[in-house]
Amino acid sequence: MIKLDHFSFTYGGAPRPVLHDISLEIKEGEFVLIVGHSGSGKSTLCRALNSLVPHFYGGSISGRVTVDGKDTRTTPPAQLARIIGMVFQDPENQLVMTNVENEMAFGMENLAFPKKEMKERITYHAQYFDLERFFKRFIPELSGGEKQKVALASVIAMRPKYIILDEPTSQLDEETASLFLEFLHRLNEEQGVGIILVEHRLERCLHYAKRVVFMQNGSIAADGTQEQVLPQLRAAGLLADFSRTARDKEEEEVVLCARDITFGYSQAQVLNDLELEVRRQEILAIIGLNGCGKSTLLKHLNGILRPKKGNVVLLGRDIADLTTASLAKDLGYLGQNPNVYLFAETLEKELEFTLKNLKVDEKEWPERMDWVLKVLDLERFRHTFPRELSCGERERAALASIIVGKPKILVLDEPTRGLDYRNKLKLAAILETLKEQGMTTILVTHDYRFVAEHATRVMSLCGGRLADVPIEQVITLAKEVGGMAT
Amino acid sequence: MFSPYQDKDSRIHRLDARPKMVFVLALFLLSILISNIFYLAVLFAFVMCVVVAGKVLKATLGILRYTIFVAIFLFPFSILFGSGSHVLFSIGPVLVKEEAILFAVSMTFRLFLAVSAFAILTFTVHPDQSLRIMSKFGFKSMTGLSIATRMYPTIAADSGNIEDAMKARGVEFDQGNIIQKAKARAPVMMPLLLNSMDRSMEIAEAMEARGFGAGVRTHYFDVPLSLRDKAMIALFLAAIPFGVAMFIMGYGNADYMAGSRFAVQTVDLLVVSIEVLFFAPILIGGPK
Repeated sequence: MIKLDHFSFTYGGAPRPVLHDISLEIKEGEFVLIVGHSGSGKSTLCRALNSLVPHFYGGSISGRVTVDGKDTRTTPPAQLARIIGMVFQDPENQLVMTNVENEMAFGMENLAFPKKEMKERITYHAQYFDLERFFKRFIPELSGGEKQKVALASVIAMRPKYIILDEPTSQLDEETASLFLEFLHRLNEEQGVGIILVEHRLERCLHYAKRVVFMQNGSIAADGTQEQVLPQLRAAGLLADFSRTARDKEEEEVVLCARDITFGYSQAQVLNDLELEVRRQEILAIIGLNGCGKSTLLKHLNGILRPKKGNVVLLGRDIADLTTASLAKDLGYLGQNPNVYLFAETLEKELEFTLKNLKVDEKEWPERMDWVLKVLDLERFRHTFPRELSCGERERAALASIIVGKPKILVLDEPTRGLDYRNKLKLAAILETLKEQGMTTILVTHDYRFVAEHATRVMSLCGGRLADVPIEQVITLAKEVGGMAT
Repeated sequence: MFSPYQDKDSRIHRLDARPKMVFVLALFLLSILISNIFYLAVLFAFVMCVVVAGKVLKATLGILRYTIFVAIFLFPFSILFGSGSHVLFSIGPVLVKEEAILFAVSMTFRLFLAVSAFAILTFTVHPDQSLRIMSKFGFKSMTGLSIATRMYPTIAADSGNIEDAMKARGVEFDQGNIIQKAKARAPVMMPLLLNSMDRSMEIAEAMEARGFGAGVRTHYFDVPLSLRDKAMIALFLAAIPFGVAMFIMGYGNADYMAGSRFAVQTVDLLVVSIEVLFFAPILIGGPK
């Protein structure tokens, strides 16, 4: 049993505790879902359970956490690894060996399992997780979903009684995330492993959890069965009914047009005689399966990639001879990872970097920055180091660094990845505001619900070509895949 | 595969990593000790035989190419600043002395020997294997080596994404001369560094959560040393005291700057042959 007894924790140098007076008991074999807005202390709570708090993070604690009778203050995480396993958010940053077999052995080696037992467990779990076919594969070559499965398998192979998963699906696409969560459910039922899951795709996993713990501002606001907690989750805006805000499109001028685009990496043809026409003030969503070339398509629109055949016309100009940088004034591009955009000391400096590169007249700077910080609701972070912001705020900060150039077209690659429902709503509201100000948005996403609720037009990329998708079809799809609460 | 390791099937690859490590260590020590050009050249030629047997000649030559650049610097410096009395010829006011040339040649061979010996380690020992061996000795820092291999593609991808992001914010990478291009790339370093630092913290956390540092580890791939591996290790180790003894007696030792001339005597041939014989068993390699 994991037991928290009036536990509070403050990070070193922080003014107030991030966890406040938490009392909680988690029994063996339970499936507990921990929910809450970002910044409510979910991740810290996870780390308090396996003593990464305080051993890895420092800081000050009061109250106590015991895991099967062991006090976390005196038991370092490496010792607790026998009882509690942990799977982290980013599959990229938790696999340390170069191939799957070694990765699975790594944890057991650390705990000094005899060689014979390691062999047995690896064989058994590789089979259970269906990992045998890439046993010897170089880990960086695996997909995100596969990596996350390897991470889980490597932890399970150590046979912990409990597994903590901190937003394990936030870097995965919708379908893969569904499969992963389903697998967790099976693991809990069949192997009796206790699961403590932090997750923001509530629609997707609520029905698996026998118990839901709702956290708010570092305390437990509710703890009970799904039915008991549901009203509070709705009230807090963590779950919401489906609502479509986007209006029907009006016929506007064409701002971007791609004709006959053909492109392929070394062997596989990715885009094949693709045609695309985008009109002013559209919010065009492009959906499609993993690896179908959605990101590749976006990178053609501003010349990061150049087609083998065909051309892209942006605001009446053929971009073939123009550099990506010179197009940045007209077309803003935000890639998947906001972290690669953020490096300056303050958000203000981050914006100045863009303005300087785009050679915007310095007299205009203050006005532009005020505008962008207001639209993106980032005013209070003007002088903050952007990398210290939370996930949703960082996404907006990266967006700010693009929008400050006032591009006419905005291209977003998976903008909802890792965002909880509230942050998604915020993003949608921003796109709507920008639309009213005349901006056109093209976005690629796996998030059917976001598309169904906010896009003005939807296309799907399949076989290297785009096809129109009626919005009604996306709504059906969103309801099916999401198991959405209606 | 992005790691420098060359995944090939050769007798050198099949050999256990431990004798290979001792082999490289012993040769490296000798390369520091020995200064006689003839000794260094013979040992280098031998190491290249091992490289060929390991089917990693191309990759090794790739690395040696960089060593040549270092050597190119070495020559003018020794000629300009070296002392000696045997003037071979002069270029304007600069006297080219035999001592200086010999010194530069010996340094070059020393570099070649050390670099090619390490190339064997880099190209024929899988990084996972070296991690396992090193962690057994308690060298935790060596874990970093394996992680570096594992993370290299991630960081390479990061740097590509950062460039794209910079372009999207108006940074021109491909215009102007080389200096302007290099300057434009400088801002990529900052986010790359920050990202890598964030990653390293997360990796450390994940490793700890999986019991790294819990105490004495066991080893999944632990293969006991075979008799022949042990014999090889013993021989390679024995080459070190032999080399030192010979060095003290004056064989393999040449102070060119102090006036030693390049000369090969029968006894040198004999001594260096024995030294090579100590190392020769590596060519037999591992079991089929």
